[in-house]
Amino acid sequence: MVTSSFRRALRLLLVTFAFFALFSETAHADEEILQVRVQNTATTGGKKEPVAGVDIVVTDAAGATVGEGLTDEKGVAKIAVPSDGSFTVTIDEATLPEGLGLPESGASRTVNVTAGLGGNANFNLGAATAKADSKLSLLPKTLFNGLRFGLVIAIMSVGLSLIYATTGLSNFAHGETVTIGAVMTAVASGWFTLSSATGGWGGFVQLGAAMVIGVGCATAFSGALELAVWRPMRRRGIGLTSMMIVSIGIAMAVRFIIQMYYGSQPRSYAQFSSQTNINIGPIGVTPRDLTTGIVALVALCSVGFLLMKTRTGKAIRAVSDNPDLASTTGINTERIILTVWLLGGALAGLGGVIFGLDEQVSWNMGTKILLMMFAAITLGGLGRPFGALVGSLAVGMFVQLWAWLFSSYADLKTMGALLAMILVLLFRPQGILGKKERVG
Amino acid sequence: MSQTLSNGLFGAIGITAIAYCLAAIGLNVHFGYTGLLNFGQAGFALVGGYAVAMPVMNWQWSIWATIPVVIMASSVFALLLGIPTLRLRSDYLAIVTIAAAEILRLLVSTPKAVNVTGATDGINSFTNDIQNSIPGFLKGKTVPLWEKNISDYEMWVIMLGWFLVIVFSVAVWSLMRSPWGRVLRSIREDEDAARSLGKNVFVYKMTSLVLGGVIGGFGGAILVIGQRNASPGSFQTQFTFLTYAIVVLGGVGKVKGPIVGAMIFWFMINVSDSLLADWTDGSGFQLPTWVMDSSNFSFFRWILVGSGLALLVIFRPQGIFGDKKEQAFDVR
Amino acid sequence: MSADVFADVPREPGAKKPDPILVADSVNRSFGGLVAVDVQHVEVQRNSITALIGPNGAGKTTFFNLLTGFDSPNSGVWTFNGQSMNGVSPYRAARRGMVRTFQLTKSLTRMTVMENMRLGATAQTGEKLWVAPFKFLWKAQEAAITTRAESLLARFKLDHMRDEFGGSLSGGQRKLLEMARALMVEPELVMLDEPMAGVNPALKQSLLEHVKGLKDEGRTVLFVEHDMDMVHEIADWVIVMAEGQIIAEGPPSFIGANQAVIDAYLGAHQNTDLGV
Repeated sequence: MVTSSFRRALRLLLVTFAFFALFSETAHADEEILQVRVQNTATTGGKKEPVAGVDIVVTDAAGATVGEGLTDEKGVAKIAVPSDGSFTVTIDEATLPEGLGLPESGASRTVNVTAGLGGNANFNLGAATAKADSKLSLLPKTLFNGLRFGLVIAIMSVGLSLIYATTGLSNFAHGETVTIGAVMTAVASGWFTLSSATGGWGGFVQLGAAMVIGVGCATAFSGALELAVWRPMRRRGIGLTSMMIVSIGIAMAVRFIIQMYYGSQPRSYAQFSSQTNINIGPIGVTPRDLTTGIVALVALCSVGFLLMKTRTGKAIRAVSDNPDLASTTGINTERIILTVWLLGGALAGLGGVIFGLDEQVSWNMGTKILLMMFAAITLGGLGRPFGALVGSLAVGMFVQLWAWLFSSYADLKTMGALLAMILVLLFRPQGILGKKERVG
Repeated sequence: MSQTLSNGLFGAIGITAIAYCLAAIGLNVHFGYTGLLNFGQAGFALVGGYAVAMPVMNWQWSIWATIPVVIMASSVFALLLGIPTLRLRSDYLAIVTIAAAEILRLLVSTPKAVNVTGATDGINSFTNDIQNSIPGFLKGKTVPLWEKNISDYEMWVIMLGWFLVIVFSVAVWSLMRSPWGRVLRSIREDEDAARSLGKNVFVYKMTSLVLGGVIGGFGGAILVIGQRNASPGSFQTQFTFLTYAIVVLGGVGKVKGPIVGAMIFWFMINVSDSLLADWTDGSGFQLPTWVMDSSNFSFFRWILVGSGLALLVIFRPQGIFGDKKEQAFDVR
Repeated sequence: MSADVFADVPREPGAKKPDPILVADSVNRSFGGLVAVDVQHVEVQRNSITALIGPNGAGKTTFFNLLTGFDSPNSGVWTFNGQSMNGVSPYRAARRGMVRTFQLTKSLTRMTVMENMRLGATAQTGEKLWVAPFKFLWKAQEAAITTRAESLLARFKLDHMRDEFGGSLSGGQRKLLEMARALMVEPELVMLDEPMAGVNPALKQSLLEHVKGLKDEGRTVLFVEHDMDMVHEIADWVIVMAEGQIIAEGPPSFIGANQAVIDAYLGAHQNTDLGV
């Protein structure tokens, strides 16, 4: 009958299993199992996560290797050791994944293996903390990042500085111009698909085309404000404080229009989001960061060339210095001012896209960076475009150096830049490159 | 509709309105009367709020004993702010004051300070003394305001708050009609003229900064007491911008300005919130969803505030109570 | 009468005066490479009307700014009534009795004429923070100040404008207000920076009378002007500046014929009527 055959088969199976189990145990009668567990405790949720693929080496009291193994997907390696006794368990640091560092107790652990019970070692990894020497090795990368960040701020703040220099206005809506550049590029990228690649030339073409629209929108926004708001206000003789407060109002309105229709969720550009570092000397940098850094540098050099070598640039500098005098020499100050607003808008838009590639595109990204921009142009000297460059580099450096130096206070890194600005103004009220005139 | 208006009315007299009213009275002293471009009023409010919450949480003080702490902390912040910046041009003053307020907010938010300031979550249980001091006639009752019911705690704080508003308004009024106030106003017009007439401009500006800052500090104190929570999120730069909107709305340099400005401002915000919530909740008159829907209508209020402020400054800079002759806070 | 005081004073730059109220030595102010003021020695006679003239850009207003503390020199010392004024801030200079007006009038536009005037009064108890809220403490003094202001305004024929905002006054009226307001301070030395600029001829005459009146009150007047007629009419002594330096001193009649002065002016202003 089925049932009895089934039962007989089952019985046979069980006996076989038992025999094998017994047999296995007796075959390794003296061997013990040392269980090693490697976990990551530096996760954002605080939960411990298993770490796979870590190489474990077990050595005996004499130093001879007696067993080796890799942690599995549960983070556990079961290594057979020949007998009970004291063994040293060591993690191979080179096999740790990126960003994780050894626990404070170090890479090695002494474990007592008990006969019949085996042994246990737990390694709780933390974030790769900077020890004294590896901190120094991070310095070149920090300086490079500081420089690059400074260049990005510089693109955005040079426009702000030129606007201040030619019209005297502290434009609080400049942050929103940055946001518009970034957001409209993201939105435009969804309108057409020249290439669905997320990297390489395809990605470049898609993002580039979207950028034309995005930066164009930022430029148009800036120019439209000048024609519709600032110029009429100047004509009516309304003062600068009033204009500044109007810019605050416009900034608020635009910011929340963006939040309403783009949403509160930060998003990344589809292109160039995950890349591997290429190594240049002691620095590892993604091709994206390198490219955007170069783009920023080229843009700034172009602006510098414009200001120093072209007629328009000279006219801009003349109006910055003395608008009334400039107009008597035949310069059309109103047209120069419009040019400055358009140029400032374009630069801000470009800065926004780069900033969006660095971090993410969000409705308030411009607002977050606005204070840094003001700090930069104030530090460098209000009304001096080259001061804006100097100030921006200083701010960029400060922020990155603070995060490097005080890694446990990294959330306060912008505070460092702001404090620096206040200190500089204490001793040099006109800023680094500012014109020394009677203040106060 | 009556629900909407009732919400508006509650907004006009409620905790938020009072807090911003006090901040605006202080800012009016700075900007309206003295011409100081103080963009760090949020910082003063933060200082005042934490000056109440921290001693109670950390050292178990009675909340009433924190009143002098509010005054002292606000004054110290004013001094720290003023000594380096009052000699700077007004454009610099604006940036530095924003920076100072932001530095304060960052310091208070940092996770390292969680045992002292509560970091981003802030401090929560410090209002027992207020709860216990609710007078007999209020205790346990709810006060009806049209269609809204106000708890006894909230009503008590509202009463305390309006009392402060009256006290400070009277103080400002009495000061501004005096020769001392006249010097302040002359500084607003032209500092050098005041100097050439023998007035120590720096001391006046400093005093104005301290006075307006202390009043702003009490605004922060009322806010945290009313909300029963002191956290950095209440004191972002937006707080300062809204305070400016209120000062401009009410009329720069007028005693009644901040009071009426704050009430009308919060009335309008609450009414608009109510209406938009109603128009996007799926029943009755509805706005087309591409304009607004239930997930994003709450942002509209800020679009209203921002554009309203801009239009106000352009077309009616004297606000409600301002004199057209004394129009615009500056002329080229 | 005034000429007697200056009878023995040599007609040369830096001449010593019998009873100087203001003495300045080696005052230098440079902006980068540009030397704006370079005065070796100058003295201003007490209770006289002294004119400070010179072509545009000669440094007259800068010198005013330096003397009254609105600007700091690179080097130099000066005294007022024997007291050193180095590093003295503008408000202190004013309190010591040295009051100046400005080339571009600073009439406080959003304050009334009367408030402008009341501002000028010194030693007001109501200006103290702790006294201010209590009107009864400063009421009487305020009334006295108002009376004084009213009589001054009447003298300057501005009394009908007492409740008008400073911003609604004409250019000439603002000049008058600025002078009247300066007088509320009861200064010993009144420093007027181009008091006649932009004032219509009819008003000029009455202004001249007011300035002469100041001397009768025992005050000293130092004024900067381009209007040579005014200089000839009321100045007891003239100091001429050009390119930051004092190039001549003397009574008006002497100055008009002085070759150095003519050269300085002809170099800059071919058309200036020197009133010779």
